[in-house]
Amino acid sequence: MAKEVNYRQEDSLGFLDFPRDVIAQTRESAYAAYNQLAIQKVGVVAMNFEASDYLNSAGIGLIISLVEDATRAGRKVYAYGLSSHYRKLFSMVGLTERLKLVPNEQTMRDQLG
Amino acid sequence: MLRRIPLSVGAVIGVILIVGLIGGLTYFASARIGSTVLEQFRSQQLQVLTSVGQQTEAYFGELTLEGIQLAQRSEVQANAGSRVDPSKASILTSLIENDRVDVVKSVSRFNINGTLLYTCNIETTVNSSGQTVYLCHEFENDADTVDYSIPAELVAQTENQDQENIFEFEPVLYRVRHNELNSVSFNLLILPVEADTSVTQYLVYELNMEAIFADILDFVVDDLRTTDSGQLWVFDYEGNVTFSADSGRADGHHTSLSEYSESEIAAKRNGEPEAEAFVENGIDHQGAFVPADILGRKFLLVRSQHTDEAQAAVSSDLRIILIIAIATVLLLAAGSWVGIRRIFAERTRREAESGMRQTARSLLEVSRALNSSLELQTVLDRILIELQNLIPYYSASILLLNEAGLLEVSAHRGEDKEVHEGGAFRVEEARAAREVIARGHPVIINDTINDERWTQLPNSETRSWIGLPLRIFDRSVGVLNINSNIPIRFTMQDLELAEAFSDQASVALQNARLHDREVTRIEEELTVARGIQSSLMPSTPPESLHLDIAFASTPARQVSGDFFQLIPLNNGRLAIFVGDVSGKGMPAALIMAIMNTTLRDEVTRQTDPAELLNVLNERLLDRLLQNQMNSAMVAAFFDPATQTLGIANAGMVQPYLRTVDNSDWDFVDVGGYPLGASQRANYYGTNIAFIAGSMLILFSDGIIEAQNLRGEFFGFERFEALLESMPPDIDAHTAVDQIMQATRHHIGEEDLQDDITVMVIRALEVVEPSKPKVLTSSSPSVELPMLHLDIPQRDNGSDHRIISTHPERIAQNEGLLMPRENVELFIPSRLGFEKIARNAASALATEMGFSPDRIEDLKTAVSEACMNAIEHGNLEDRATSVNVLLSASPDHLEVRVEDRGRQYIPNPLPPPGGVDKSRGWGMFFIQNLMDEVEITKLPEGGNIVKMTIYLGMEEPTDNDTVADEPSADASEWIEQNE
Repeated sequence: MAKEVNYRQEDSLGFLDFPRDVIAQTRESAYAAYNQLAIQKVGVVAMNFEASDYLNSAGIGLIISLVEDATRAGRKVYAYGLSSHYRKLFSMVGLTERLKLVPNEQTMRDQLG
Repeated sequence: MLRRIPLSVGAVIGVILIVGLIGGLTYFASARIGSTVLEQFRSQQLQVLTSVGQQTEAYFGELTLEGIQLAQRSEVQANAGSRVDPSKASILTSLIENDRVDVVKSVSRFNINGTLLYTCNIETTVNSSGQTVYLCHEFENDADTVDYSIPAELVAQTENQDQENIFEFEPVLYRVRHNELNSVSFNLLILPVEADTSVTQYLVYELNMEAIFADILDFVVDDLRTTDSGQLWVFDYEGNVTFSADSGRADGHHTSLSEYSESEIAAKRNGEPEAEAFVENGIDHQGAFVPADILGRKFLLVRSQHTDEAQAAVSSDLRIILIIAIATVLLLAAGSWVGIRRIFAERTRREAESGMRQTARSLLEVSRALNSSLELQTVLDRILIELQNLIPYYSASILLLNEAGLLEVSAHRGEDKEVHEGGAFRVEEARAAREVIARGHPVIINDTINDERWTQLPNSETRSWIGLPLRIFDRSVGVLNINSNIPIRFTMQDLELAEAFSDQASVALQNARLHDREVTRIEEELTVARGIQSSLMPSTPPESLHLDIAFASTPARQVSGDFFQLIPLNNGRLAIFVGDVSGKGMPAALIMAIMNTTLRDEVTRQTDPAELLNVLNERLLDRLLQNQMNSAMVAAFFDPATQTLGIANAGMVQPYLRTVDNSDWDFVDVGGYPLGASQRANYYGTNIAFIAGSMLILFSDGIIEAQNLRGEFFGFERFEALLESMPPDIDAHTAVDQIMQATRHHIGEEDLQDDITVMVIRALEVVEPSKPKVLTSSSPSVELPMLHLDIPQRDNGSDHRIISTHPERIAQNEGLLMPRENVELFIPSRLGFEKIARNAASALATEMGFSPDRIEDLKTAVSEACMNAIEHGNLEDRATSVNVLLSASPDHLEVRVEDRGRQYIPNPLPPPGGVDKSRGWGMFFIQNLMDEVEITKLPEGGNIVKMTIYLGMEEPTDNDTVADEPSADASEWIEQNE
């Protein structure tokens, strides 16, 4: 029952693996993981929500902050593994304008070529 | 009278002794004067000068505050570059009002580049009526200027700031040189002033430091006038003498501290206050050195005096003090012969009055203390404690008649413990006590040795005794013994007092006896009930080849509302239940007993847990509603053939599961509201693979909500952390033990607030060949939908019943429409508990036939509303709760979330994603996901967020998911980032 955001890297592709609950308490580990990817100068940040089934407003606010930071640094952001409900919420807050929503990791890899 | 004469004589002797002592001390003190007198001088001077240093700091603090207030006046701020009268008049008024016309020479204004804007020189004249008039004199033309400028470093510092914004700097004190003459300096107090253009400028006070210090040090200078050699200096932060004063009788031996180097002066300026001896021009001095912090700059105040003069002054002081002390004592001695008798007579009278008042007060306090408890033994012990305050005794005891007619020592206090070793004795053996009981009146024996009524017990030292009857409804039930080891100790006054006390004690005893009997009766009944209840629940887990099961349950009261059950079924299957009846004590236990009977009756007829819960709800609903109770219950059926667990949940905390392939704990996502809460509950279940090594934990909410003395819940975080710490191969018994211990450890000294129950089930490796598994090992926790619907119509084959308000479907809905049903929850004001409300809302919406998408919308909205209430409404005050009311109507579901509001939800709501783009989205989601939202501010404090979703309303699609456009701020954020 992981509660923290983990990161992994494949060349310039950095993954943020989000836990089941994405809430205010996730912020610290999310930033720690994101900063590690930023240090490694990844060009693409892939947000993996396959394990997540609860994102509250604080959690979505956290995603907004991360996406804003990544966009400012010129990084592409992908998000996958979200249910239709959370895809709707991402759209409502304008996140879909700033990141690429894809169904799964493979689709993302296909699009990245 | 007899007692007063020795007192008078004693007082006279005391006075003589004091005079002798003073004389002796004087003799010894004189011998030590030489060595201590200078230390005393230094100490005095240091104290005086330190006080002066503090006054100096305060003076400059006030001056700065006045300057800041002046700078904030609108007429000063409004005239950034002008020399017009309002600004001048304001400056002059400020200086006159604050009596600063003598210490502030001028006030000038500079812009941020250091260019002079205007100045106001304070001038004093006398008018034709002879009155002093102050003027603010300006320069005649623009070519004129002041003789100083703003220090370059300050200009450089402020120029680097963003001039469009208000620049804030602290008021500073500067010593600056004359623009042309190096020998002339100015002391400037420079303050920030915000002009109407929002650009910071400088307001500069030119200070007359000598006048300031002469004012502050006035009384120290006066003191110097009386000395032959006193000196006073103030060194500024550059080491210059800002102020100095000498003795009024200068003898040509002035010191200048020339023996001290600049660095030594600087060290003292930055050090601690100190006093020391030093030699100057061959003459010994005593000096006090005190630093003063003025607007961040250290000044040094110094006071010195020749040593021989200082010694002479202090010695003189000491002699005067001694003379006064001796004279005072002699006066007292003389006065004692004349008036001491009268003084003692008056004191005795006052003591008597005071004693009576004290007695009355004590009796009142005794009454309060005795009646503050109903617990019998506590009352008895308190009687003896309070008695000691009224009538001091050697020992005291309370003898109560027991059912056998024996006098039983029920309480004892004092030193003669041997007396009551026997515990109980016959009334006939204690004749004195028998007399008290028989007569119902107090008895006093002041000579126990020679009084035939007294039976002296072995080792007893009692020489005087008072026996008081203790009565209940006018019947003597015991004796209060007051013992003294001194003969003829008690007076009639003591007896009267004891009788008054005895009446108070009897009332308390009567109440305690009644209470004790009532408690005993209830406890007996509860013990019987607990026995019955225990017999209904298994004492040991059933033997099983497939499962390792352990459980524990602790009631908050003697009888628990929690229950658990393990019922073997055919084909080796096992039905497992853990439940929690609302409320505690006897009512909960009775419902639990009914529940258990119904459960046993139905369990053999049903094949899966969800169906069983449906039937139980149907059968128990009326009874539960009648008693305004409900019961949560999680039901699990284990099938060894398939190694699966079917689980359904009626309002219990979701069970936790750890599988072999996934070492992380996860909860089993099944929910529903409690049995008895809804007329048409349709519970759903899930099937999970439960192969060897898997572990399931069922528990009551008493564990999560267990509170310690600080009001902290045990909570999900601690619970999950505990589960994470358990090794994969932990057995069920150890797991239960660890959970119970952790909960107990968390509660500490606090009483248990709710029953706590936990059951752990671990799947074992079975040696015998088992039947093929239905589920593959690669997906051990595949969830199989087990929704059971008794409603014929479905929506496009969906598993969820849809009750529509669409006209074509209204007819189909007939007969399905539910009356308005309420489910009410109170969740603690702690983040995380919003999930409980979310799950309850989800369960109810499922029942009503909302589509999965709409249920997700509802879950998010309910979560956000509860989080707002917890975090912003109740400020996470755990003493408060959030009230969630779910109201199901035929065509809509209304959710009302109410907090106890320390903060109001703003109306209108601020747009989300404002300054901090990550915040403020909660209410945005609620408004966009629900069909109707209403926010009400309660007059007594609190908010109600009412949200409604309608059945059959158009589902938002992915393309037009948002009814409203994102707020202006959200759009702005998108644009900014594009």
